[in-house]
Amino acid sequence: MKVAPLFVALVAAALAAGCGTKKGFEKEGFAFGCPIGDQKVSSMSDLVKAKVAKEGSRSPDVEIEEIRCTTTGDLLKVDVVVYNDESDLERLMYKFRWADAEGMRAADEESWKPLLMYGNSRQTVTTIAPNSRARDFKFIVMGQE
Amino acid sequence: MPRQPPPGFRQPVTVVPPPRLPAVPVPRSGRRSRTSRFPAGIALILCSTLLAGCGALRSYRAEMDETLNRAGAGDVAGAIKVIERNNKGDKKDLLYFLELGELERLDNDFKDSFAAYAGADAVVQAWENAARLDPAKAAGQAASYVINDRVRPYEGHDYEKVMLTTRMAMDHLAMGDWDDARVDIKRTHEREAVIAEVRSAEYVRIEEEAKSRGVDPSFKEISGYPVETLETPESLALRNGYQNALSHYLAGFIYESLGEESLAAPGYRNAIELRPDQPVLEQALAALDTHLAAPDDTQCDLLLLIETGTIPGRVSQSFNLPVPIVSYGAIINIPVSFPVLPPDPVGYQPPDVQVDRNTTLPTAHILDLDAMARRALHDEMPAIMLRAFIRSSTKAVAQYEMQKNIAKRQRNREDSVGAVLALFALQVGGIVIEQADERGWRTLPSHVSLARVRLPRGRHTVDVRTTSGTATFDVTLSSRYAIVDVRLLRGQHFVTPVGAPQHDSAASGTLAPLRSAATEPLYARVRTIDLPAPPPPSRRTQK
Amino acid sequence: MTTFKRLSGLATLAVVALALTLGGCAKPKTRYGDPGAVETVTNQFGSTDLQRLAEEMTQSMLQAPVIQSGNLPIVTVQEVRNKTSEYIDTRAITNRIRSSLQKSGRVRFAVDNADMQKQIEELKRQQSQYYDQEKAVQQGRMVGAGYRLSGEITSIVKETEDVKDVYYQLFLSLTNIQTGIEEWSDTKDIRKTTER
Repeated sequence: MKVAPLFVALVAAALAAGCGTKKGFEKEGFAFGCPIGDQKVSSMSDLVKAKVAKEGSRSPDVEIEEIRCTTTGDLLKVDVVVYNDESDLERLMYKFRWADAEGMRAADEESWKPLLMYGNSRQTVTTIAPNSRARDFKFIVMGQE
Repeated sequence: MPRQPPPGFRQPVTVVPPPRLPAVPVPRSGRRSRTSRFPAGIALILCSTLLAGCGALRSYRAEMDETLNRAGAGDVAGAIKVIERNNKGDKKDLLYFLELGELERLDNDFKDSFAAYAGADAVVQAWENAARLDPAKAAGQAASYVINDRVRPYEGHDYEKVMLTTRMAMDHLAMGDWDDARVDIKRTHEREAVIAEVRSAEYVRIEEEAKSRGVDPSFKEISGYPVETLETPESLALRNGYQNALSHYLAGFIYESLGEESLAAPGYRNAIELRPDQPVLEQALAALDTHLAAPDDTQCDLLLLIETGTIPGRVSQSFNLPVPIVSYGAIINIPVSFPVLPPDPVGYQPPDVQVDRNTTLPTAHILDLDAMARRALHDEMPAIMLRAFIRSSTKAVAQYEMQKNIAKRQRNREDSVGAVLALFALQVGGIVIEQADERGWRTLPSHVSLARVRLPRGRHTVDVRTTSGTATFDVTLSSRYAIVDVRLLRGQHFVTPVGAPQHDSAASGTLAPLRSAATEPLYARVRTIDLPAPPPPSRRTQK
Repeated sequence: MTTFKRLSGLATLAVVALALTLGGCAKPKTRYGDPGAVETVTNQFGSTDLQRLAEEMTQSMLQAPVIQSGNLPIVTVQEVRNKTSEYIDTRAITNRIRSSLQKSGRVRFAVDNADMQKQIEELKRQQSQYYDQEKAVQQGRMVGAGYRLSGEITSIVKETEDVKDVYYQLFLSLTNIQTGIEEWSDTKDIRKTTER
């Protein structure tokens, strides 16, 4: 398996950073199924903070509620729940940025995908890693003018 | 003697005919200071007339009649000379390039024809780029011009812009360059989209502008305007004045020949939507899959285009335009010239074409440029009228004031000759300035029909019935796809060489044998002018 | 008096309007943009639609069991039929899907219909006397695809005077050529509305 050495590396990294097993987390170096490396993630909001980046001058008025990951085959699968907590319609765009185990870019930059959010509504954005080298990701959102 | 306009009248009042010029010079009376204000105003108008004059005095229609007569008599070289003679300046305009390109085509000189079209295309592209950047602004210009239409730089009618790239594609086809034809055809449908964008923006602009000025820019308001020449059943049946089924069909054919099914299909589909209920067109789409999947059966898919007639030219004609003057609550009839399209009695399209004297092919009437020209003018009239209203309102105010002044002077038994003269000058100036724009690409055909057939490669004879007998020519087919374009122009017929792809890259599913070196020329120069009959009474010869 | 004033007023207006039309044509600026940016210039099929449909289809296909199996299935891309009235080059969509799938390292592609002629030409060329026959490629060694990717794109266009609404739907399917069984299929759609 290709994953094994990587897994070892992640565990080693986690141990080196001195973070022990936390309640509710299934694997070392993972939170809610998502790779977190040596970051301290003790709650969903920590995970969201670690994985979501807002770019551009006009950051969208939405909340990223949840991020969950799993693997199908050897590809990382990600679900992101976006919540528009206001009554106004919100137009935003998003993309995923993929990194390999060493933090290098694992795939070409994705194109921006437009997303229409009705007021007070949730939407789940799902994606799958473009290849098996992609072990980590960032979810990037930007406001659409 | 001028009638006195009742103060505050609301009914349209036909303005006095220009009074006869007094034989005596204007008397210079002591009260000159009071009359001199009028000549100052008139001077302004006359001045602008003179400025506009140089461009306006050229009669494009007369020039083109001569050119077309020459070409129609078979003297294409002479027709080109006429064009050159009339466009001596260094800065050639759009129409020069358009007409020259079409004449060079008739002369089978596709390289020069393409060069001329490229000159025209540079002009249209500039418009297109501006329109792409800001469609609203491009549309706004139609409403904002204050100067006479005739002296505006010629921008080209929309259907001409579409025909231009279509013709460029046809030149490339005739030269065997199908890949470049693909570029032209792609630009054609991109251009169509830009035009659609601008026109829909313009429609809104003109409506708003007309509303704000309290005028109704419907040409039915012009008394005596021949509405029926623009609202023919054919022109009203069109979707608009620029989308052209031939261009789309040609796109389908070119994409098909290059093996690009996903692009060929919308080409044929659009052609069918634009010219519905024509089995010949529907066949192309129905057969597209099987054609492309089939192996090369050494047949040739021949597309025959038969072009007839010449597109009608706009003629300037004077009408009374009721111009409302809001501040006076009056309506003044101002004589304004509007473009008119004379009715076209002959609209000949051959119903069928014969191949090898044994097969009769039905034709589809794919392009009715006559109807498109009418529809284009029909859709352009609101803008033309709005501009006429804008320009005439100045004149209407001046005329109203002067008539009132003359009446007052006559009532007071004062000297009114100066004022009458001023009024006269104003009206004469108006007549000169208000010649409608007669420009248009006149060498275009008025109708195009097409026929399509699969034939074994080799030499074939084609017979096309014309109003003056049968036109016969030979075509030599050597590829999977070929296009031949025949132009019947008043008793002459001009046949382009067989446009066959130099690289027959239509991909076939089977392992087609490697193309051997061409055993025969890819296209033959078959320009034949061998009509038996003398110049016939065909379209618009007798004018 | 009034007339002259009115005239000169209008004349000034005319001059100003003329100057505006003439002076209005500022030189357009050209800059490089982000090829991945959301493009909403018109409501015709555009770059964002192409990228989005291709990326979503790729993601969906990567989850198909045939592809997840790791057996490196060989696929040939067939024409995606364009059933719209718009000139959409569906090869641009399939090319993007193809290169993304190839980069995923899970699928291999056999030469497709459109490229066959070029492939044969080169194969035959190497059989000629000019080539070292020991190193030249051999005929009869091409590998056929086990699966074919095909599909179609359709659209629904609704238009009134002030609103134009376009809906695109891309359908793709992956069929086992031997068995004729459809191994995977998906539809992705896009809706665009333009208000005038």
